[in-house]
Amino acid sequence: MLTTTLPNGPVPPGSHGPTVSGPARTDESTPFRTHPPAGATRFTLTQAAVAVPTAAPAPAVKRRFHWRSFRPGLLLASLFVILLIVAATVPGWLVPGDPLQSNARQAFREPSLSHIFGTDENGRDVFVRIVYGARTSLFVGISASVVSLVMGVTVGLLAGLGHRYLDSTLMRGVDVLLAFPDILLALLIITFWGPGVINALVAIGVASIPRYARLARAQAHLVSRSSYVEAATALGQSRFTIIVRHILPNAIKPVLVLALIGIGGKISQGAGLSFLGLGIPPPTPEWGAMLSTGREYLINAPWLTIIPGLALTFTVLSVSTLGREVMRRSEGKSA
Amino acid sequence: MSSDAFSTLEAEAAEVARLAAKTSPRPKLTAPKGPPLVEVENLSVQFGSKGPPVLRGISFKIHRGECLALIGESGSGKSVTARTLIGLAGANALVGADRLSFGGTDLRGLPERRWRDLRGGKIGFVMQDALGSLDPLRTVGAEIAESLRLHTPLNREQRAARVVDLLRSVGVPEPEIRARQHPHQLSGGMRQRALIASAIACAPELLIADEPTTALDAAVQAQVLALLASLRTPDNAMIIVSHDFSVVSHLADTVAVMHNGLIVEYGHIESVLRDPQHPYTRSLIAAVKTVHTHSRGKAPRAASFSKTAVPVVEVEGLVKAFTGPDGKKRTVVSNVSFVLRPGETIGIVGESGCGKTTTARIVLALEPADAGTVRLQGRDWSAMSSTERRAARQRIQVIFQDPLASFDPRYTVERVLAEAIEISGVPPGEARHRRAVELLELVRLDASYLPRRPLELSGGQRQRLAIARALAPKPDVLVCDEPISALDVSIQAQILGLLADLKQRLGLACLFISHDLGVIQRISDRVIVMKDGVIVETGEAASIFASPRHPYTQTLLAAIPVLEFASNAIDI
Repeated sequence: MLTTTLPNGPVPPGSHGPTVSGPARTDESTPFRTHPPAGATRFTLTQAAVAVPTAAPAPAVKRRFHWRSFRPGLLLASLFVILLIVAATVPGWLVPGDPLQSNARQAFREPSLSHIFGTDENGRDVFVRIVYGARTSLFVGISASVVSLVMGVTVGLLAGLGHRYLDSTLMRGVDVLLAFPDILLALLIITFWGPGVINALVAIGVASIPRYARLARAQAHLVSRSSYVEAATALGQSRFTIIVRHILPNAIKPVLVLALIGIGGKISQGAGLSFLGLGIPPPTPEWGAMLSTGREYLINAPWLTIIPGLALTFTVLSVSTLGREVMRRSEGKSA
Repeated sequence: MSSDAFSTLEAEAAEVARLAAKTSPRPKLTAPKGPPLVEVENLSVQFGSKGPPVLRGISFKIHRGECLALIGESGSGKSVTARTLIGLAGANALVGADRLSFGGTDLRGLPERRWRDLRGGKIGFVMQDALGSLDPLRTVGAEIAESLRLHTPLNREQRAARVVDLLRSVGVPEPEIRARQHPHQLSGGMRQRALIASAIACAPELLIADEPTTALDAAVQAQVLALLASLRTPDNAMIIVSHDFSVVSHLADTVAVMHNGLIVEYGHIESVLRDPQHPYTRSLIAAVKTVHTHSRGKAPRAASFSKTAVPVVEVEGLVKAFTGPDGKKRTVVSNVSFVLRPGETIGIVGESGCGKTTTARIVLALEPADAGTVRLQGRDWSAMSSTERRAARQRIQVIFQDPLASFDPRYTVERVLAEAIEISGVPPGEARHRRAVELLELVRLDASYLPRRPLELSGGQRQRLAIARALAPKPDVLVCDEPISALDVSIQAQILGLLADLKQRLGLACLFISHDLGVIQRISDRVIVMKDGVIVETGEAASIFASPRHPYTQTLLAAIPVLEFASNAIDI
């Protein structure tokens, strides 16, 4: 949309430069001349007003904080992620007590001041278990992302930079993996290797290799044809140095962003496996497992499912929001 | 499309261009009758309420039958001025003016609906990037019919017929077929013609062309300029935006030279070119003269190289073919041979797609040849082991057309240079830093640029950095692949001057590739003219310019933009 000032309306402040000139202007330093050929008037601006271009460096642009760019959702997401990180590293700071301490007389207490999220079937404090459960969830989410990132990028770079036979072999394999839904693939892997934390996170990680591998391959293709890679080749750099110095760091950036957004999804997949009894075995506090147990008491003690469900939802939401913000900032900027 | 039809067309169009250049189609300017078509008084534009104004105090008038040229370098505000006239200055642009009218209509505060009537209907706009401005999913015909559908009562059949007429009138061959094709199926010049056809579809009273030839080869540029000249009538007016005086000097009646958002000089083209008042105008005209020298028969300079010396590069019988998307083999380079001696500069000239860049890439061993040999200082690239080849690469360095793309986007200037210096075996630390500063000074930059990123540099500074990097390993040969084509003409002159100076001082041999024979003439000792992968003419630069034998060379020579009126009295 064009913003146009009204007739005779105010001109934006500062828009009238000091050096506006017109046919009426004269100047001592440059004699004003007109050669009016058939109606066309002519004028020349003062010579002092506009410098002939020089190679002088432009001043550095300062970044300033603008309230207009303030977004409450982003702030909430950041606060929540900070809270999660604190809960995962030093849960004792947030809550006193032990997530495993059971007390049969305290079972199924509704949320109250003494137990703000209530207690479960064994009388354990749900809030304490949620806080302690953050570590497992984040561990599964981040580790699974690292697994898929490392394997995906390796496969992608090999396919993108290797011989085309290697490329087709790897990419056909990736296509086969892509044909399975993520969770199904993870289930398949767990069927072979058995349940457990490590197996669960490897399974989740392997399940999402295809997406990272394809992106990494495309990026590697793109970057390896860029003229800065050619310039490095022309300088006489070795192929290995070029891959490590130029191709890998430039190709990996969008994959990293994708992985960051993917952490949220992987947390929920980890919880999903635990919910099915294939992830973290009880009594370790884990949101998916808590959901699964709570399901049996849905009518009488709904908070046993609602609270871990909300924790999971908010975690996935805020991690993904931050991931998308990183993506937004990285787009359109090549530096 | 057959390439024969194409070359015939080109020959024709070049003939047109030559005639146009000689006969000067500009109608004699008579005293303007009636009120001006466009009146702009004290126009100012700024982006955002806090940003600095990009235009200040812009005033001009255009009468019917007149052509105004807006001249200036990138960022001078010439495009914003043109876009303001069609109400597309930008999303957050604040436009203020004492008077901004078109055909008696006050454009200030015009509602969007009224703007839409003007755009395409009364004002036609030709953008610079023809590929980007045409919808890739629609046929060219549909694109042109769009403005007819919006602004005329014609029905579908009438529109289709009119589209074919329009395409024919802008010199597109086989218009019935072209109208059904998509933009990517047309050549660059053809696309620009199609874009012009869509802009003039409704016979606009004002035609604005924003850098209409900047992305085009010299020969195609001449054709498009001739086309624009032929579209002028006493009833319409034209604004042409360019960074190059030579492009507009045949077309425009009045010229407004813009610099930093101000019109620094405004007047009749002849008087401005003959007697420029403002130093900026003078520097622009001087730049055009430096870049597009057109002094036939004048020897460039005394050759500083020995003809008996061992050649640094010997190219023999190069052949390269690529497999197209249709599975057919296309020969891009066939039987190209030449010899480059120490200190000599060979210019390779030809239009895009003639195989000159592929030749350069093979010479640099960035691409293997299908047949033929390239010997660097007597040693065959293909006979070297990969370690030997890496070492030999330091002897021959390259400067690309787009400097920004040739730097790792994460790197600072210092890291870019450090990488190149490291290869030449300088130990890390103080020595590398000193060498980096030394290289920057060689290309007339200084140490203050070291912590910056290429993104923060201007186009000219980037190309200087690219030159500094290429010089880091102290090469014997420099391959310059269209090193100035992406730059403003004023910067082109600076970079050309720098290259010529460095060549002389460092005794570099140089392979200089360009589509512009004028640029080639300025820097080369010998010239190779390529067309469709074949060398059609080769010889001493002076003799090629004095007596070009091949018709294609003659076409290229005719396509060098000529600055009209300019007196030789201007010396900067």
